[in-house]
Amino acid sequence: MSSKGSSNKRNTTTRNALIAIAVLLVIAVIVYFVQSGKPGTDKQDGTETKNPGIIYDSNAVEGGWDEADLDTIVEGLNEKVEEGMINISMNTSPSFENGSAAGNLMIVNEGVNRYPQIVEIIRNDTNEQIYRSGAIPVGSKIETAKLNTVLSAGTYECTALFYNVDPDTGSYLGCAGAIIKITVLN
Amino acid sequence: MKKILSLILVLCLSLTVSATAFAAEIDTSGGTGSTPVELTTTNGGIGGGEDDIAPTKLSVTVPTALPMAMSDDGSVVTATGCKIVNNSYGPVRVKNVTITAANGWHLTAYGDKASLAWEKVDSHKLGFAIRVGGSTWGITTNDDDTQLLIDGPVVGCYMSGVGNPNGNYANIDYAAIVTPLSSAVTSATVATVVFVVEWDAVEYVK
Repeated sequence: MSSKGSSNKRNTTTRNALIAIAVLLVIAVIVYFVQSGKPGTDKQDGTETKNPGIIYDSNAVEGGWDEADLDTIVEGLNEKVEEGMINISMNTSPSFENGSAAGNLMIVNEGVNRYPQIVEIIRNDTNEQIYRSGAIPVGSKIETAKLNTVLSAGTYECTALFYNVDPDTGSYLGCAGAIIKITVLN
Repeated sequence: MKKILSLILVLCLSLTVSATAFAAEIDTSGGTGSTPVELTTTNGGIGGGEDDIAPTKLSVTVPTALPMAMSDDGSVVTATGCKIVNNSYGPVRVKNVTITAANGWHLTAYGDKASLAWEKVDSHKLGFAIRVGGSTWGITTNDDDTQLLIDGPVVGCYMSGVGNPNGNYANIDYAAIVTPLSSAVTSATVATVVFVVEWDAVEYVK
């Protein structure tokens, strides 16, 4: 009798414990679903937010402004310098029999160049443009030409400006100059 | 017949003597004579004919692009491989260097980029500095649209003839400060720099 009573008491304790566990599980499930329905949880991608009060953008990635590679930048700049190099070549002492005659300008757009050239000659004393060539193809030259202005006999210090020209648009891409001395004999 | 032969011999003898007379006549012991050494400049083909005379050819390679890159904090990076190379037989020098602002841009005094801290965004101002051959920096000093950065040959601007590969070039360094931009640009022309070279001659006859 006493062993039977003891057994019933043990069964009752076990049943109560199981009921308590079941109640706790139900509470845990309820809490879980309540939390899932709160703002701050991204249900679409299933990610859980750190702060349930803020909606974080899924496009946000870790990091700041990209740090450019200095060596790569300098390398690119050096390539542009190389592309823009211009070889200027001409007779620095052209002479003209008279002001309206052709003289030996000998302007050469060397084969090492990348672009056609246009050459302008400016008088240094008056800044007057006294010559302007048409476009000279790469690997070509102007041996002799007349000036645009009739100069009287004498010697003139001038600056010859060589322009790189875009072969498609005709626009000037860059310029370099050389001091020359023009002599008109008569 | 003998007379004719004698005449021919006399003629030959006289011609021989007269040819000697074209050279310097030295008729005393220890006497001196002069022999002119003549020079004619010719074109590359060493023609030397009357129509082939030409002065020494000027041939110089010069940069026409000075690219820069500006980072988001205003730091400006420039190219490091910029130089002028003299391919001529004779030495040359840089006569001057000028800068002209491009359309829509303005020059301003070069200095620390902090000097532009109060400049409005998109005011399109550029301060520029350059030096040739490690010489003194030539800088923009005001807001004129065209400014002379290097006026007259200075130390470092001189290049030997092509025969000296260690001296026939001059490195170019440049730097800039630029006012902030609200939008990105690529290869925008903000100014043009023109190098003018000339013979490094003993005297230039004007």
